[in-house]
Amino acid sequence: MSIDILIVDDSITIRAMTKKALALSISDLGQVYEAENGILALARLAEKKVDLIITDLNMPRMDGLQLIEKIKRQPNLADIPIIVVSTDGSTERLSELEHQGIRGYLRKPFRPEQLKEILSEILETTYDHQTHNTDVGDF
Amino acid sequence: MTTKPITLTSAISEVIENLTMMVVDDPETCENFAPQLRGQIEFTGPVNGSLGIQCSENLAQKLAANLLGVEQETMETQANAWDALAELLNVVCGNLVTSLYDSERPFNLSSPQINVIVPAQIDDNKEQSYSNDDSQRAFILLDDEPVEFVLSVKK
Repeated sequence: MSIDILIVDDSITIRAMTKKALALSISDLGQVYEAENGILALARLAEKKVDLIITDLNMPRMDGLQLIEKIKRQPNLADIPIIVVSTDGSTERLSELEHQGIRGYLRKPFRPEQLKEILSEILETTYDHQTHNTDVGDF
Repeated sequence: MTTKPITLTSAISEVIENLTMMVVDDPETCENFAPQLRGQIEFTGPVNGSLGIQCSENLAQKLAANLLGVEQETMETQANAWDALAELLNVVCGNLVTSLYDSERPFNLSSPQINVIVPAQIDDNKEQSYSNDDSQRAFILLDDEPVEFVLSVKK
């Protein structure tokens, strides 16, 4: 199966970097959708369900915490694995995210191989999907 | 075994080296520094304050090209360069406040704002930046271009 992914981040630079890392990590990458805040992410999810969400926390209009809370309240979306990518690495925030049921966390700045490692674990356990065996150390 | 103390410069340099493939150095002098762009991000939480950055437009373009993995000459818009600079400020600030002040309680960061510095404002900017006694400055060379960070904490 191909894996459709939604990237939510207000930085076009981070969305582009993440998209590139995804292409190098997932052997059968499907559609990669982008949204620059939580509101646009929910609008996208209303149109098309995805297999994985990668979201930032600090965004205008609707931040990542609010987005995760809304996703987890919707039965048709609640089971989508979520990876948080953020500069916030405080133990209190990590505990809060764990409580909300996120599947992975990456602190910015992150290396492509760190994203690949988290993707491997989530996709294999959730969809029995294999990631690329290639080195993603260099973009 | 002794632990090297975390300084503003070392913390900033470490984050930038992890985010980019660019070389970070200490400048021998900060004379003739004429930045064209200025950015600022506010943080609130266990400690409140702001982090500012000043650099050239050319450096912002280099940074964007580096992060996007493209040649600088192929950069399409100024918006990419400003977005990359804003993200650099966001990532540096997020890591800095955690390592310098509190790693347990979360900080909230504002959206970084990037502006063009009008030449006549450069002296005013310096006065504003340095007028706060609690401000700390860090000068680095990023890919041979000077960058200034100013960390201000509200009492």
